[in-house]
Amino acid sequence: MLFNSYEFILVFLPLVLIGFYLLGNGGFGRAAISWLVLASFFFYGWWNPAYLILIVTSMLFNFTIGSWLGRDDDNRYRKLLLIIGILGNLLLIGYYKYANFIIDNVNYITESNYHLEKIILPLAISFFTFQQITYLVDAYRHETKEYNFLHYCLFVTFFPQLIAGPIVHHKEMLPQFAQKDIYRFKHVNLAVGLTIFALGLFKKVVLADNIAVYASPVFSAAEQGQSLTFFEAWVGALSYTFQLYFDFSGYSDMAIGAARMFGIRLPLNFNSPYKSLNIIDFWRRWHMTLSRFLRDYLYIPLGGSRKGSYRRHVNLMATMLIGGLWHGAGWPFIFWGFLHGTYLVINHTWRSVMTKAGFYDSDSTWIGRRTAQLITFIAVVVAWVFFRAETFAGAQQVLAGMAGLNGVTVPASALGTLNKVMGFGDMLANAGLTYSADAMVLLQGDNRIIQLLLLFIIALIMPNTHEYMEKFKPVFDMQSIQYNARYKINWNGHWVWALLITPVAFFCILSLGNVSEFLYFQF
Amino acid sequence: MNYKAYNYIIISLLLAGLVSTLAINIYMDPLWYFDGNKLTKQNFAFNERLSKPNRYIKTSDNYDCLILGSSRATLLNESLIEGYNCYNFAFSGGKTEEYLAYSKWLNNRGASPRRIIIAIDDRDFTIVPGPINIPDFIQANSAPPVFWKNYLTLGSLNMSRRLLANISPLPRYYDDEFYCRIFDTAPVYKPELEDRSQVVLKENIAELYRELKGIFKNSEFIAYITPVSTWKVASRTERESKHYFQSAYAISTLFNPLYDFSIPSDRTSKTDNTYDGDHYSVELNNEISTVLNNGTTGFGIKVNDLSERDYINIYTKALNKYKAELMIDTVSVVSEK
Repeated sequence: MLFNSYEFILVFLPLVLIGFYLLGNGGFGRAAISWLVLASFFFYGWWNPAYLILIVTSMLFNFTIGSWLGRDDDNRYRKLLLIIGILGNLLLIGYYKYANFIIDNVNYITESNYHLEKIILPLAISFFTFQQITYLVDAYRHETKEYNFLHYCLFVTFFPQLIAGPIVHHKEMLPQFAQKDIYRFKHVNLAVGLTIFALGLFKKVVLADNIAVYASPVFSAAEQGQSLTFFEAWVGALSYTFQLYFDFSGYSDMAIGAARMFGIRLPLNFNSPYKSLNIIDFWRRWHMTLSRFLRDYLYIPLGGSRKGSYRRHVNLMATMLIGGLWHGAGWPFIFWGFLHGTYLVINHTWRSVMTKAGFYDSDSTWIGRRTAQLITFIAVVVAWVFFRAETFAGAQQVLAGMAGLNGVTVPASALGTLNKVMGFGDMLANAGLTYSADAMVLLQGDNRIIQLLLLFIIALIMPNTHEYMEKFKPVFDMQSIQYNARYKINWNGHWVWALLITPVAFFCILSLGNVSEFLYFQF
Repeated sequence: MNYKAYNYIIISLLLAGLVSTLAINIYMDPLWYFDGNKLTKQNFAFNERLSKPNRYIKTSDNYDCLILGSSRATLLNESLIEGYNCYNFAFSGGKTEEYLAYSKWLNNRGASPRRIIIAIDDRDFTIVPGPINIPDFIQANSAPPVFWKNYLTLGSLNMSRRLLANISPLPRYYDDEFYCRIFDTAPVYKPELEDRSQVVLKENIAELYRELKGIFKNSEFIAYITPVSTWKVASRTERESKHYFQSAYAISTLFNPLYDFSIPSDRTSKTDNTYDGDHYSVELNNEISTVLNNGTTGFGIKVNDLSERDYINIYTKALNKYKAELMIDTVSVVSEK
């Protein structure tokens, strides 16, 4: 079931909420938890009930291993148990997600012809597998223990975060489920949750889905080997850049909003990443719970930055390559990870050199910060081209267009607009710039640029949902949010806010006709 | 702050808005889930790819005859097909590949018509720009989306608004019995020659129809090529004309009878019985029904009765006759473009 579907918004969510609070208010906390677990199973099994067996098996396996690991006795087999547990999870995800990719590559290298039937990726396998690995490691470290399978089921399957994250820790969720307070209905939780959910829905169905139609024709044409003009390539790449941003941001908001309706806070997963001044900052703002997982369970165990700068760079690169592979079984994803690894190495090296030279980030001027932001943004856009393209050849076609290798021709219709600004259009023409009606032929018009500008402003300048909602602590790691007090716009539950949010929600629900899946569902 | 009031405002206004939207759309019924527009009794052709299946499903037990075609065939009155209870499944912009998909869908849903009438457009022999448009439910062989999902959309609300304001997207509409009509205010056809030098020809068109025929193995097929204005026929290049005759003749070996109503005639050389040279009046379509019922050919020709050479000769002769009468000078006009 999708968050942006009629079934979820008009039927499933209201029914689950009503059932949960009826049971909770009646003093049946355990029944309320069971109700949530059942609802989550139903939510997961909506597409393909067969995969319920898979997730239940996975939970039984991990709960058993985790329970053994969580015992206080100092069993010498604990490390072996942990390895078995992690290997079990990796084998599961390896089979479903990477088996065909590995076989294809073996066939390519050895010129063999092994064959495996196409394996359909079970929904959310990347998320529930990683989440359970964190549980095993935390249990091994005696940071958490769980003896109640019902609670464990809710930790893994809680539907607001089941399908596409955020990847939560056992120790973050279980204490919340244990609070008796959450079973009592509170209007403030519903108000905060509804508002965040509505804003997330708006990002998805209005902003992301509407810009998606400009990315698809450009990348499709590139895959077919068609040359792209400068503007087509940039509009295509930027459209995808913002589509992914608003899709993921919208999903994260909806997850946080839906959980909050049940009185549960999820961790922040998305914090205006395009505002980043450098790529290190970007990864602290983009898919924050995945970054946290990769840092805590991969980068740091590999040695992190404790073994010198060379090892740090190797560890960073390895972490990002695996991060790329996590997103999909394909070389363009791995190359995307490699690019980000390279960016991070450059960023750390630059920072180290500048620090040694006596320059600090905090000394930067406004121009310096904006330049850094622009460089970071362009680097991210270039990497997204590989993330979106199906093949390297397709990515190269888009990048060639963006680099102006196919010439730079301005849409003819822009001449008049440019001329309104002190004859700027003619000045550019005299300087050698050419105008053509074909400059944006793939995109049928140049008003796309205005739409992109609007999205640019929303993503790079405006405060994000959690900044507006800051006073109500919508997520439990509020320290990540550095609210900019200049905006002075705070949601406060006043009826005026209700009158502003209602048409947004109404418009979004009436826009659900063309239901589209979230991009992060495929990872 | 009073969060209770906040929640009540949002939830009550949202519910009121959604219920109102649903009620308006059900009453105006722009997608024909129920009995059509109850207010003005006119039904516009908004999305016939969905509205035609919607209406068909409601009454499918009754039909033993189907009409497949594009918007040109929507004007063929299904009730005039004698001896059958016919359903006109034609929809705007229909292409052969789409009829195929719809036929499979109908077949999978148990349709077993005794007669199928296929209306073929001359443009079916060329590649028409634009994607093949087959709705998800047709491809998935499932029922059309439930009404409340489609009626909780801005698109449907906008369609209802247009029905209410009588702003039709097309010069034709469906009456309260779902018979297609043409507005009195439809545009006046201004004939002119077209530059068709860039037209891309579609190869192996007969194969698609052979596949279509194979879906309904027990049905009797009647096919006809829809009428088109003489000026449009005169605009065809020599290459296109040759391809047209070859394709039509190949199709005639699959369907007996195949009538060709595009042959220049008194009807298609007039301009007061069509609003665009492709969509002809209900009266002219009624004449087509008569031909289909009786097999008489006072209008159009029956291709199967002729050799390919005779077919080409008769057609070309008719074209030349009307070109002379109407003083259509193909070469000079096309070259001016």
